[in-house]
Amino acid sequence: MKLDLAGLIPATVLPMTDDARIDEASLRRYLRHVAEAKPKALAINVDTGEGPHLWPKERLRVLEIVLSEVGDRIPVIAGLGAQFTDQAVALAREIKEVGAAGLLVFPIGAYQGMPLDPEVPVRYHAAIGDATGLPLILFQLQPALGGVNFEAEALDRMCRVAQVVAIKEASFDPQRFVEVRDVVKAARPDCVYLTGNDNFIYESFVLGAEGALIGFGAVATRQQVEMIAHALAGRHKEAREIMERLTPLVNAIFAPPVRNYRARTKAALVMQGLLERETVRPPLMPISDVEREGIRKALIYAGELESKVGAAKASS
Amino acid sequence: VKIDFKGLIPATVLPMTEDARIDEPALRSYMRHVAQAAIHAVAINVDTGEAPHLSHEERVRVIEVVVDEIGDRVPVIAGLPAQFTEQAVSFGRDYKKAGASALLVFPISAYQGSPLEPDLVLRYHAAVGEGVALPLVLFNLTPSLGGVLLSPEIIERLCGLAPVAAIKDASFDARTFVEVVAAVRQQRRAIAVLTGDDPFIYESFVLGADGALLGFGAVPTRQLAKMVDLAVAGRFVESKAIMDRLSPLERAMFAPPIRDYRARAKEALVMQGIIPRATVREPLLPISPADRESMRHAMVAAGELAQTVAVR
Repeated sequence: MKLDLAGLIPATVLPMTDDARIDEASLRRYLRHVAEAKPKALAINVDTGEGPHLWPKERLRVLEIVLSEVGDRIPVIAGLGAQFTDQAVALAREIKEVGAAGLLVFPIGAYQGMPLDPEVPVRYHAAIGDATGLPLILFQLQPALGGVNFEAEALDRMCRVAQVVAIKEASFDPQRFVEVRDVVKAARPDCVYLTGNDNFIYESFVLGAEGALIGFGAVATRQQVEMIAHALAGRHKEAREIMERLTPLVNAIFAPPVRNYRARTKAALVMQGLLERETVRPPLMPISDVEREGIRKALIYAGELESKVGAAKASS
Repeated sequence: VKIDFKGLIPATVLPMTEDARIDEPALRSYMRHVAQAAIHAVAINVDTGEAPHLSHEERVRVIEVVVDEIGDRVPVIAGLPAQFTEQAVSFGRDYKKAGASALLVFPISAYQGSPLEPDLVLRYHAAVGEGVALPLVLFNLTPSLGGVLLSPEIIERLCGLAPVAAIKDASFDARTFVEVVAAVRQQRRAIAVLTGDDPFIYESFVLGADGALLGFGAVPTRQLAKMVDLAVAGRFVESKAIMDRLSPLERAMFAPPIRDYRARAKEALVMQGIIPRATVREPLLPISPADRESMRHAMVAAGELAQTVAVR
């Protein structure tokens, strides 16, 4: 199956039980809901899905559940969070075995500290690609969130790794987004340029994005699918209208401290009746009532929650 | 095993076979060599020992080997790199069972992004302390190396946790170091401040360090232990004289890109005939001949390698 990544790829949350285990029934129900919006693919076991806080076996289990529930309709991209090359290769092989359509390759600790010899990321991605043959999505993540902004030479060479099909750019910096676009497109015109910049989602499409792989896609999925379809078709007025409606919700969910966005996203889905509980796994912590109220208002503004429902629940 | 933190705790390298597996015989002989110096503990399974690039099972094995070889003489502090709370507790228990005397608790990725709620850091350490029941060494690591600087408020609250015995500061910033010392000194009980600040090792003692937990200790272990002991005793002039001799080696080993310092440390030990090869595990890469030469010059200047050996 040829991967078509030009559109929305929501990074989904992982519903949990009261004791912070995988809530399989809720996960299945939530995925059916997301699938109805017809996104291009799903990204699981990434930060939004608390991938870093799952045991390797749990990540494989999540992948199995997702594939069995929506795998016939939607390609599933699995996050590959590892620490070293051998480990990444071993994990990637297991992920392939279970049936993921592609991998989002997370930056590793060894990238830290300047300068970064391009050989380090190039060999890392090549080893994963060679071992699995799976389509790879590169991931540039801003240092404030534990990632690395790659130099042009490193990006150019990473794009040329045979299995690379796309890059998720999450520098949160529009100027860099444009510079990286040019490097990527010069190296590999067919490399799909995905925005991961929650702070300028719509604007990313003005700046050359071809798709979006974003945690925000976990809520208001249908509206974002529509927004991106408009933007890609050049109907910017329509796209901007939707985005303006959604902006208070993005701001509420990704407010500092950004690590709370997973609990906030779950809170929004609970308010919509799509999830049973907000539970996140420690070290993540529950959010405050103040944060919850901000999300409720933003959901109503976005047309994602009826005002009356909000009032009734708040007073109960 | 009670650890006396007032001295040098070298973070040791992990000798590897040609295919980048643990070289057990080389690890044992290197540990015997390190243990001959006046060290107060060893720190294994930290960045110097390539712990982020080992599987959990391999880390357990490294602890077993080191404890078996020198555990009767030297306390073993094990790095605890984990991703989430339950995993940290589980790993920590395994490391205790393998014989670790204390844990150096690495910052986790959930600390990323400001502001950092003190409760998140506190709960993480409290869970490890309660779940594992070993003394803990806190870790204040510069963001440029993937860490997070903990605020004085967070440090003070962490020091209130009973298992916390020491803090390693690797802020690489003298002002932050002074703030850390001040925050720790607020405590009623003694908590050791360990310098992990390679750019100002000697100066850390002038600023109030109690001891040192350093990757640099993997190479000129004997000289660095002497330097630290002299500084702890307040004999700063003699201490500084040793540090001045070692500084070019420190700069060569921690030159940019800093990730190569593990390969450089191994190259230095190979030159000394202490370990058989400089292999590091991927994603780390071997160093260049030029890098190797600058290490050789610095080793000679530090009195760690005879000139004739260098020529041969």
